[in-house]
Amino acid sequence: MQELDYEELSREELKLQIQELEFAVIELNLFLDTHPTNQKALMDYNMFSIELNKTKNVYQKKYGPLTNFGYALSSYPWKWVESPWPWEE
Amino acid sequence: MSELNKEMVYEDLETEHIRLPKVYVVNQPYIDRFPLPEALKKGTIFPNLYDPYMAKMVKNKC
Amino acid sequence: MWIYEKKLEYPVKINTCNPALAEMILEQFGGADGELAAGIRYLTQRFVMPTKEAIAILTDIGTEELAHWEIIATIVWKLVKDAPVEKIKGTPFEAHFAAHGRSPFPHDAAGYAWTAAFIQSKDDPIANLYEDMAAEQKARATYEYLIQLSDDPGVTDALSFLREREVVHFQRFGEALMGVEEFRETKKYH
Repeated sequence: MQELDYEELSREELKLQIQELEFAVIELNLFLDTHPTNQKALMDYNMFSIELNKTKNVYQKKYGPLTNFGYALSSYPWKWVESPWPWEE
Repeated sequence: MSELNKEMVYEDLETEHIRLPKVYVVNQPYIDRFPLPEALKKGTIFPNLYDPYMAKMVKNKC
Repeated sequence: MWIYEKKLEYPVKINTCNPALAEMILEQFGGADGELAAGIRYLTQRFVMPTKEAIAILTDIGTEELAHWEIIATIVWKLVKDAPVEKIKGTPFEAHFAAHGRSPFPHDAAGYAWTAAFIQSKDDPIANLYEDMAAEQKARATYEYLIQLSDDPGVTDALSFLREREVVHFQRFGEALMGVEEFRETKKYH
């Protein structure tokens, strides 16, 4: 796994990191749904999930929550309503 | 479609316990992963499921 | 329950106006073999699945299809949001504009509105899973037509991603089908 300092990345670079990691996690999730006993896939899923959450935490602290309904916190004033929404980027 | 994810229809197998009409999908083994940036671009992390489309393969007749 | 993430599954980089292409892309927004049909179909069928693997894969692919529906909407929106009416007139998007302005709306490339008649869900997991495999092939083929029609590299790039997803989903539904058939076989002998 490439060693990146997420704090040094720009907003766009950080977002791309999140998309790359989350995509790997989604792919492994689907694979595990039909291969629940594949240990390698599960190890990789957990490994990428940890890295994904690290990246998301850095992003969200700087730029606001990526999810709502209690999945992420917000500073004041309520950041969830803020742009950019996905089609605005 | 690549060999490993093709559907196969067997008509006359030696093994008698294979029922007809039936379709078989080969189970995908977890062999390798593309590096993450490449995986996102391609649309899969699995080399054995990657099936690129070349739009220019169609020949024009008129 | 669904949670929304304020980010696309795949980055869409488009900076041009192209209402004519946007109208064609709507085929995957509101068409028979599009992402909305796929999402609703899978999320509806999952209730009658007899194996937990099949329930999970229908739930998760169904959810991913809604994320793809969002990508398609984003492509359409970016292609028309800054288009002046003069650029819309004379294109297939003009009829859409007459009813909806620049707002995306779920109909197909010819303007036929999305309908539940595009999908089926029977209390028969075998029938359902074969439909799902067929749906993924039809979606893949549709993306190939759209890739042929696209003259915008940003659009083609996103379409290629979405097309490959259909290939992967096909494999997953095939595996789920094998699991369901095996389950049926073992049930028979008990």
